[in-house]
Amino acid sequence: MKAPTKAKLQKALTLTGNEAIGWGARLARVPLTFIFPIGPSDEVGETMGQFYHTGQLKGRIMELEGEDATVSAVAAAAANGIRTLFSTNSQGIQKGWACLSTMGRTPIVLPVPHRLLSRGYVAPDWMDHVILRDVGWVLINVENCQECLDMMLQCYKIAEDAEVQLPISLGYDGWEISHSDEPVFIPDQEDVDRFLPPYRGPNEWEEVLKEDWRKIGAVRRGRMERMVESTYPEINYNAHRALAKAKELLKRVDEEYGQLFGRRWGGPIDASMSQGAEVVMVTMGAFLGTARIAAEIARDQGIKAGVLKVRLFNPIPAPELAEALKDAKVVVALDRDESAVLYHGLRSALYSVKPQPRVIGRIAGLSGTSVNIDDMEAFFEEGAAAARGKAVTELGWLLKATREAQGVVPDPNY
Amino acid sequence: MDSEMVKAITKAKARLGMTEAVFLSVAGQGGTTAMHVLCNALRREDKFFNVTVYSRGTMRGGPVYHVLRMGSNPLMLPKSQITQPDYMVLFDESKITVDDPASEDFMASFQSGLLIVNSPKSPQELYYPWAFSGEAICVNVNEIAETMSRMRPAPPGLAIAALFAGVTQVVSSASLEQAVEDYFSHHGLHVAQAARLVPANLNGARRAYEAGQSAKRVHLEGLGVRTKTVRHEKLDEIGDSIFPDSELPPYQSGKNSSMWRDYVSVWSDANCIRCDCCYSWLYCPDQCIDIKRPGQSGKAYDVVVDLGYCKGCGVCEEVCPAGALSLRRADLVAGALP
Repeated sequence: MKAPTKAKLQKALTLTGNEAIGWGARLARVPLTFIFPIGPSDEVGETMGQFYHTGQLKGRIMELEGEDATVSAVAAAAANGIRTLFSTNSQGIQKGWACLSTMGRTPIVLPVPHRLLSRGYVAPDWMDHVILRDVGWVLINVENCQECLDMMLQCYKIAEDAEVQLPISLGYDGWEISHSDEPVFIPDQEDVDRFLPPYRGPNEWEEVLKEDWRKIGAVRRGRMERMVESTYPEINYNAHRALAKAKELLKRVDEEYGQLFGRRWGGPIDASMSQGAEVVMVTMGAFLGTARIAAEIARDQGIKAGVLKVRLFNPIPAPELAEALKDAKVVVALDRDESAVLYHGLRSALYSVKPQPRVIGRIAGLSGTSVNIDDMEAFFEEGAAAARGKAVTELGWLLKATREAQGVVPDPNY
Repeated sequence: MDSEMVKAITKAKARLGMTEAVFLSVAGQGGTTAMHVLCNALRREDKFFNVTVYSRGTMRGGPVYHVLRMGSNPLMLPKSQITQPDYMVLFDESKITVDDPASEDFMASFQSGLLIVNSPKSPQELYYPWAFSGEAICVNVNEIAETMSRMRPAPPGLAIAALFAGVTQVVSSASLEQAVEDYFSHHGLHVAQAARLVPANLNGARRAYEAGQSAKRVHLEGLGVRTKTVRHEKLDEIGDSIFPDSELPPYQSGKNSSMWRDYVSVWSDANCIRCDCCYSWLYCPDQCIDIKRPGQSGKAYDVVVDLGYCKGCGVCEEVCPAGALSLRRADLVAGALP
């Protein structure tokens, strides 16, 4: 595996994930930042506040009375050609849900440091991304602070592309990435300006999109009579076409970014550690570092183990996954959400691959419970057992409630 | 975790050039400061690292855990909470005996390696009830920390960071000192404050680093069985000594909070329009603004800020419609610093 290149000209700073997001927005010259406090997101707004306050970046902070109002204002700003930043998570997303779920074709970037939904605890899991998945958002998940910064720039470029024009959410595990100090290489501002042109807004959008906007606007303003039944599917179909374009653009932008700044993260998936492997663990985010070390240990023990990193959570990159996993015998999908999105996504992606790899799923680390190297190694061993034809749990939950009852229990519905 | 697994993890970590250290502290002891300084020093030496922060209690005085990972490849650094640490650093000896499930998880996973404890005792005198066979170092950095910060008791964070660097040699003394300077310049201190704090902290960091270099490593066998239970009382005591009270704002707990302050609110008689807006019970979170009526003090109308409890938050400045209350640097106002 290749470590991200240390480009000679880039200076390094010690930044947390949230600060790296702020730095990404600073390099993208974001003139308007919205703040509505919720941990672990607050630090993003604080970082931007410092930039504005000290004059390192021109712009202002806007604070509104709630997430719903904030999201409406973000959409309004984006529709009028202003690049914005607003970061929220879990209950913030739930509170702004009415607006977030009808975002339509608004090109905004929403960094989401994952935190579990409600229940009074603040540790990370991916459920706040899962609820955005079904309403047409492009969801990207990253694994460290450097990737946070790099993807901020790439997300603005993708979201604002004339053919895409979609809301993008950039997810990174709360606390584990958002509050982890890491060295982050800062690209040169001039290069960034070359990479990311200023955002000009809807005036330059193509004709079809204007038509979609007119219709969406009609719905928004409550003029339902103008919205004939047949246009709703058409609008949504166009949005789904744009989702597919976003995936293609993610590949192209990754290549361009790599040429300019010396760091490539691999587009929708990163299969660099899964080539030639028989048992492949497919996962995202903060799990990856642990999974890679567990794979090294499994290789020491004679298992042909590999790790595949999913970066695009929605739309799930099915053809790419099918291509990358066609030689694998067993695929272990490691989910940090109770819906087991990766497991189900992989099952449908690999359905028509012959010979079909066996997919087993593990739900682990909900609400930030620790998933350690030995747990991951046990998943690889289970995968190896499945490759030898032994019976293993199809979809299992890793429970750690008490010391006595730790381990994988089968999901009661599968 | 069985011993086979421990061996396998240790082997893989050695091959990948990865080191792991767990820091157990109480919120307010400077755990985050220690991480900032160590990370900055590591960055100066072009190393890759990450820090997992993990706290079971969100209150002040609650337990905090930092796991620092260092290596040559950022993609090969785990972010899980517990793995197989090489170093365990305890900000206080009482972290060993506290009956806390998260501490237990960390201690149970730490079966060999180097244990670094901030304690005046010697390693042989430690009560270490976990299964452990490795080396231990005990250094008392509280005194160094007190000279660094001029607080008593002092948060030992920065001194612990320097001690860890000295013991393990993960960073050089020069990088560490540079990182300490960075830490203070990042906080935008006033010249007068910087002149007081930066040399004191540099000197303290140097002393702690040297103490770490010369500290004696002693072989320690853990008991493996707990023969006594010590609950949270000691932890609460540390929390109380750092913060006035973990639950109550300072004015209720009756403990002085003046050491928190960078700014202080100053009243100007000339600008004041006598509107009573600033009166304590309405806005001041610590209720330290009192308005003296005629007869209560020498003046006809007097706004008095209680410097024992004002923490310089600036709410009064926001609230005042006439600009009569304004925030000033605490170190430039006579009598505002303890």
